Amino acid sequence: MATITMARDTAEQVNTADVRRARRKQNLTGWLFISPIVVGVVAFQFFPILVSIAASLTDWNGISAPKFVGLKNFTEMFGDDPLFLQTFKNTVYFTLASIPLTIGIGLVLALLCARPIKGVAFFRTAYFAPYVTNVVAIGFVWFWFFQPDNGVINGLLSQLGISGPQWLSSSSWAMPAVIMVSVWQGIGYPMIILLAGLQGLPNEFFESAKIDGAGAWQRLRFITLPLLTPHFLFLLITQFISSFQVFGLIYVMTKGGPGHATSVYIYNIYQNAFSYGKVGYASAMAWILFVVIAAVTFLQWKLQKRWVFYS
Amino acid sequence: MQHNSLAQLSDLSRRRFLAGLTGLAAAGAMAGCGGNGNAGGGGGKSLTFLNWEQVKGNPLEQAIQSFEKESGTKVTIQPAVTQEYDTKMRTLIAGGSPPDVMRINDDFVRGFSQQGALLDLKPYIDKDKLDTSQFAKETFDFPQQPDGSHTAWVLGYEPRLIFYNVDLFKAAGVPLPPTTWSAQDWTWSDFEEKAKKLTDPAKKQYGALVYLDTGYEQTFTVNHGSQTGIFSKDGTQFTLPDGKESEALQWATDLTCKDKVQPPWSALQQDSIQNQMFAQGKIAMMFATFGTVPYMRQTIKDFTWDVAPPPGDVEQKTESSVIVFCIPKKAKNPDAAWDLLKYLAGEEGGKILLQGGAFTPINLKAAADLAPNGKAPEHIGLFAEAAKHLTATNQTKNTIGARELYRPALDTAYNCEKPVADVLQGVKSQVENALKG
Repeated sequence: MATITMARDTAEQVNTADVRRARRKQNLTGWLFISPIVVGVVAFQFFPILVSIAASLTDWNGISAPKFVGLKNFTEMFGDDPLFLQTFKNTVYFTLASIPLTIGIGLVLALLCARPIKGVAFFRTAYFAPYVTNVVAIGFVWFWFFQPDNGVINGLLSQLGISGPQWLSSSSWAMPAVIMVSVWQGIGYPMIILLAGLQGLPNEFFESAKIDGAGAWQRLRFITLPLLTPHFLFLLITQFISSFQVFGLIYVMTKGGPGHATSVYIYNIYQNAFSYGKVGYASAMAWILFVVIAAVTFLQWKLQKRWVFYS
Repeated sequence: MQHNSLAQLSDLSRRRFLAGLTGLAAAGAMAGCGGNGNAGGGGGKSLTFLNWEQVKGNPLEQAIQSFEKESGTKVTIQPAVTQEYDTKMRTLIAGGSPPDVMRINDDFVRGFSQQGALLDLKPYIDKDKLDTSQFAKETFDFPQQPDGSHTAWVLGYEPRLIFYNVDLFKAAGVPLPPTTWSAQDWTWSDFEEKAKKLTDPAKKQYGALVYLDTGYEQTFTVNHGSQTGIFSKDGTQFTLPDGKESEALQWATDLTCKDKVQPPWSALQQDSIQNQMFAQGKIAMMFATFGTVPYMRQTIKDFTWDVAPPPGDVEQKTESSVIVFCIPKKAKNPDAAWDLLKYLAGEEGGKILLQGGAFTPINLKAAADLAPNGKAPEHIGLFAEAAKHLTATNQTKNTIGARELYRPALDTAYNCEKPVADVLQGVKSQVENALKG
């Protein structure tokens, strides 16, 4: 009996060792498969991040050797650089205006496109198309549309007897014009997310509400919107991050002008790094941006308990 | 059984994976070999060349081909970059593998030299005992640095003159501007009066366009009596907000805001719009560089156009852009690069470049051939004479940084929202801070 037990134990031990060896091999194979990605992430993400931290503490023009200056870049940013504050304000303006409009219009379109009507697929595609169109192409086309003398927008306004503004060359109208284009381009994304959300809502809530006599507005107000709050949270976070990093449209349409009316934070970083050769300063600005985005995202995540409902 | 199969599968996958990885590495290495380095081939000398304009089909290409034939050196012209050339150039230099010869914005020469990015050509000039008297002195001296180094190479210069539409003048019965460098009947008030007579709002036709070409900042301030123009001589002070300078810029701005004889700033935000408007007969007089001549020659078929000196006030000078190339310090073939620059600045190279009509070659003998040759403008020789009437912006450590601050700010003045003096005073301290480098 003892012999039989020992033999079984030994067989089990051998068996276990084989399984471990096989697992080790399997793990090794797995690591080898993902190693290109890991190497890529380390080389092209972690390493540049470390370099940018180091660069933010230096006076570096990208050509000659960097000179360590401690926190000088950060103190200069808050003390001696009026453009830092102005571009930050412009970014906040862009973000606060574009996010509600993008998500709001995206919601309306999602509600319309969720209806089972003929040809709805065409509209879904049409609304989503600008989102996947190249931002440079969009910027150029709208640049022409906004031309004060021979642009499409002012041409249409003049048909209505309205003398259109100078748009991109007016310090008060340039940013609203860019926001309009950004919203036009961006509404497809929240529309698709919210449409997916709408299609996944449980039908029984609506049937019960109908039986209880709730009208369409009440069903939207008290059932649809609360059930979509996780989607709104996701959109708020992602839209905030992308709005704070807006660059392409500004670069193509206004180059930050007129004056610095549309100069946003990322554009300021770009100019410091590549136009002025202030790579150290631009790195410091990038880290401030990272901290702001991380803090606001963390805040949004924490505050979700107060308004997000998970059914 | 199961773990055996797993082990076999693992072995197989790993082998395949490693084989694939080796293949990828080999392919990458081959791609790397093919993608970098000089494309000279044949074991001869070679070099790479980068310009911000298309070289193909231009006299520059002919001049380079002529150099290749003469020297046996293969020149690989890298693709032209029209947008954000400065960014690409800075990135190439910072990356450590720049082309052997590259065009450089004249505003960058001082700063890049101080950063040690450009090769000093003085030892080459001395070694070859180059006769520098063959070059236009003011422009040849442009790349000389305070420490005596010569960090860039000027191939030519583009003075600015007034381009005008002869037919519009005749139709309005307005006397033509002078055909020599003379301010007689050609003062600022004469210019303004003519511009008013040449403006026709019904046809959206404007009498003048001065403030779009940024060379007007230096030209018109100096002509109004400024001793320094935009920056002080030592490059540390921003003098554009001072009295005479602000007055000059305000005068040009008022052509729009008060006189309504110049297109509004908002109508000028498209690339090259001024050339298009002039070619369409929408602008009667335009302050522009020599570089616009080829476009005008090619485009204008239905009216006569000519050039005149800028109107005189206290002075009658003009700023000239310089066509500057450099050899980065990290260039792989500096000797061959020097040979090319030397050839392009020589008489033979200069004569080929002159055919383009875009700039005056730095070589005096080549520049002497500048003539209309049956093409407009009839008084093209005024560009050559401009060499005796030049004003140049004083160099600073960070001209580009300063310009990125004050030029956008001037939009407010050009949009007639604020006086020029207020705008410039508002950014003076920021600009001077930027000038520290």
